[in-house]
Amino acid sequence: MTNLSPIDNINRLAKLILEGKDPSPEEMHAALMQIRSERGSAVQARAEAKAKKEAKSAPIDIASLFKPKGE
Amino acid sequence: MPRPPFPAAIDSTLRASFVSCPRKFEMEYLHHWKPQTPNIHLLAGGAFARGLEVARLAFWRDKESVERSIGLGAIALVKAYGTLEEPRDSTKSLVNMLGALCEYFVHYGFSTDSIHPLVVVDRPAVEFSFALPIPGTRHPETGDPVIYSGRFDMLGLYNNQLFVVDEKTASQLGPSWYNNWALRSQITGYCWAAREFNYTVVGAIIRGLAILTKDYKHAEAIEYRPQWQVDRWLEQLRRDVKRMIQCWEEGYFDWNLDSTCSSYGGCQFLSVCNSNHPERWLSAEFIQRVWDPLTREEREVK
Repeated sequence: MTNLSPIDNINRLAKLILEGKDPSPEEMHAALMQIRSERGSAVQARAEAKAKKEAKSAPIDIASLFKPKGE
Repeated sequence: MPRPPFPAAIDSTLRASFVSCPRKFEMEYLHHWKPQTPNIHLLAGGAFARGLEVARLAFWRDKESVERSIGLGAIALVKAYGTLEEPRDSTKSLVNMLGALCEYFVHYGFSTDSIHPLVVVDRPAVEFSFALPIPGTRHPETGDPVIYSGRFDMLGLYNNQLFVVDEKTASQLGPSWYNNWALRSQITGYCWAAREFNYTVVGAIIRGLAILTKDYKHAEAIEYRPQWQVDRWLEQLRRDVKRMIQCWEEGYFDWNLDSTCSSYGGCQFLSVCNSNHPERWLSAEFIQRVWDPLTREEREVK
C-alpha cells in the first residue's frame, strides 16, 4: 500500500473501519502522521513562497531617489 | 399545528433556541423540523469529541501507548463520523477531522498537557454526562421536574484546581472567540452540574481548535464561575422553563422578528416565517428529526 498517497491511504482505512474491519491502532496512527507530515510540508512550502514574494516586492527606498546625482 | 408533547429534558441548545426566538424553538424542538441536510458542524464536532474520549480513556485508563491511544481515538472518530456525504464548502471533512485529532494530541501531549483528567476510583473523569432535575420546575404533562441535561469532555485538574474542560471545533478563532464564553449559559450549566455531583469546579477551560482549509489553530479560554453566577443562571433557567411551559399551555410561541431572523446568515426558518403558509415550506424544505438531549443524537421521525 506504499504507493497510495496519504489521503488515499486514510480513506482506504476509513472504508475498512466502516466495513467493520478495523486496522490496528498503530497503522491508523502511522496514516495520521503521514497526513500531518504532508500538510506540514505544504505549509512550509507556502510560507517560503510568501517570503520570496514579499522579498521581491520590498518597499522602494524613497530617500535614495532624491539624492543629488554623483553622490 | 397540533400541540406536540412538551420535552422531558432541556439542554443548553434548547434553551438557547427558546431565548433567541420561542417560535424557532417550537418549530425546531417541539415539532422537530430540521433542514434536510444534516448539520455537518454538529456531526463533525460529535465525532471529534468521541475520538478525544476514546484516546484519553485508552491512555489514562487502559495505559496504552501514545501511538495506540491516538490510533484508537481515530478509529472511533471514523465510526462516529459515519458515511455522511461531505458538503463541498465545509472544512470539516473526515480527513480534516482526523487531522484535527492528531494535531490536538501533538499540541497537548498526553504527558506534557498542563491539564490532567481527574481520576475517580481508578477511572479518569473523561466524558461527563448528566441529567438533573431543575429545582422548582414541573413538567406540564407528567408533573415531574423538568430535566436539565448535558455533556462535556472532561473534569480536569489545572494548577491544582478542578475545571470543567470542553473542546470546541471552529471555523476560525479570532479575538471574538474568547468573548463567546463569558456568561455563556452552556458553560455555567456544566459548572452547576459538576457541583451538584460534589465536584468543586472553579470554572471551565474551553479549548478551541480551528479547522482551516490548510492549517489548524489552537486557543484556550479560562472562565471562572463564582457561585453567585451559578445561582443566577439556575434562577434564569427556571424562569425560562416556566416561560416555555406558559407558551406551550397557551399554544402560542412568540416571534423574535428582529436580529435573530437575520444574524449569522439568516435563521433557517426565515422562508417559513416569511410565508403566509408556513406549513407548505416546512413540509417541502424540512424533515422531522428528533434531537434527544439525553442521548445527544438525532433520529428521524418515521
